[in-house]
Amino acid sequence: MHDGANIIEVRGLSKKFGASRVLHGIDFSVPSGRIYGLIGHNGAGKTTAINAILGLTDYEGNVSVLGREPYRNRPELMKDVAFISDVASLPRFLRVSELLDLMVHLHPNFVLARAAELIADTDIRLSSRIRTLSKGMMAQLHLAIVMAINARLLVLDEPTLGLDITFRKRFYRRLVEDYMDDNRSILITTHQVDEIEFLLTDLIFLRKGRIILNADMDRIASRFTQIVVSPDMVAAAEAERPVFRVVQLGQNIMIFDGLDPARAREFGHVTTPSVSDLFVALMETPNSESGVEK
Amino acid sequence: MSAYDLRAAATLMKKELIEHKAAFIYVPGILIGVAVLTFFAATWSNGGALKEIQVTSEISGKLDLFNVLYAGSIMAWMGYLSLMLFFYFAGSFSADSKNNALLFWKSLPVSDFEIMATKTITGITLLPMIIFGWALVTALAATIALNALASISPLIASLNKGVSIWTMINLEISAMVFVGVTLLWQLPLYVFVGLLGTLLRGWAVPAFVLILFMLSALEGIIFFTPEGYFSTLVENRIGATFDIVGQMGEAMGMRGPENLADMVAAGSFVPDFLARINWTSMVLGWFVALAFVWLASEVRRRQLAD
Repeated sequence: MHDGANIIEVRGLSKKFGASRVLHGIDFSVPSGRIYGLIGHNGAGKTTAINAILGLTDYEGNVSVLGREPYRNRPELMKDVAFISDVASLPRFLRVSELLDLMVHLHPNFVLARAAELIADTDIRLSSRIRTLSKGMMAQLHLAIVMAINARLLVLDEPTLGLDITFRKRFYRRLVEDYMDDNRSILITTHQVDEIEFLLTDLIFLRKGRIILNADMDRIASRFTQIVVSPDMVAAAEAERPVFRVVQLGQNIMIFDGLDPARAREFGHVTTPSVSDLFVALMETPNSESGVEK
Repeated sequence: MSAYDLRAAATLMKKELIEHKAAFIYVPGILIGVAVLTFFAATWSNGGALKEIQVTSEISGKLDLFNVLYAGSIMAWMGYLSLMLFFYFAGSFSADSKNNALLFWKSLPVSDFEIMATKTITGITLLPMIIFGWALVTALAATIALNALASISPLIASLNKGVSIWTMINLEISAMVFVGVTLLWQLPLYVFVGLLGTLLRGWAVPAFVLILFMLSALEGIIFFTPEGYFSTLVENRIGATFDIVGQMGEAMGMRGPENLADMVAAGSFVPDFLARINWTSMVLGWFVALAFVWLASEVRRRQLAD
């Protein structure tokens, strides 16, 4: 049984597909009790990194999940790790009741009562064939199955794709209120960044296979500053080398990394950038990988 | 192997059955239903003619209708089983990838080798047992049908000599032993088409035929012989057990499937058949099959989704 502090340890993780390298020796750790958002453009290497962590693909470098090397120990690892890599991946020839029966006998940490409770909260009938469910219902079922597993690590790759806003919000709320505890960690990738911002404790930005930001949310809030710069202070603000600058509706908006708070207030109205604003800022900043990693 | 592992294996076998119930439950049921309906329709429309056919000692002495029907139906079900198992192996090794479901199966604490091994074990145990169940249903239906016909037709009555329950059971056991041994003998071929399925999906069957044909042809061209080592080996893997039954029949002065029940009634089918099997070659075949299962599981381990 793993008793170390970090649930995931990644050191020098690299992956090549043919001549194309999609991960360039990335390092990060995920301790217990944290919810990490792994954010990046399409093709940034998020899913490849997640697949390596889940033992679904081989790789170069060192990856340890709950003290195990994932690629060689996937079956053992899956007792303590739950994941959704595609919401529409349930076997369609089964009925919902057959799927639950299968989970009971194949997964030692699956809690049937918990799954039944979660499914009862939806319109899904136990007698329904999975192939007859709508995409949204299939996603709800998959999420119920995954949340009924007593896992130490939950990995969600675009978990709410295709779901309506009501269900997405309810799912994320449940994740925090009912599922999360100090003994577990969650790693989420999604393009709907704003919806998960409230639940994240840590953020990793991935660009072209490299980590350009790895920080906890408190640190991000203290480190990055978004300022609606007063017209007369634009030149002075630009002299402080913002990591991002945009003009919206005639307003100069700049994002700074590590700007002194007192100095920031001299330039205009100061706020903390949202994750999506920060993502856009750092993705568009050349060479932003230098100096912003944890 | 713990009780939990056994339960998991049984669950995976059940999953295979659910996934392939059309071929092993629905279609056989429909076939029997169609046969029964055809029988009633034929009896209804030809009942008068049947009553009038005169019985001659020449006819009634030559045929035992029940034996012909019973042995024939068992052989028909064996043919059906062989065909369905071939397609089962060709399809089931890659079936988990359908609709992106491979990612779901990989989220379970079950190894790729365990999954592939379970598919193989299902193919040579559970699925044949189900078909034998259908063979029994057929025998029961044939008994009822023949007795019904015998009551209206003197010809059928004279041909329906019937067999004892013991002979029926003996015939069924003999058929099960034959099919079981044949499946185990042919296992490397079944698993090979499964391995091709993991690599080529829907092209497994044509690739299987093409590979065997090409290798046999190449061997024939290179060594200038129509019966090279490889082609003989494949031929032997496909037909050896059938050849053995033929040899046993000839040794008893019998020809054709209608004598199968008599052969069984003679009481020595199972021990005689088993004694003629080349068990060294059988066990070597299992190791080859095991290697193919392992290779298929390694291919699966490297696959993610469609």
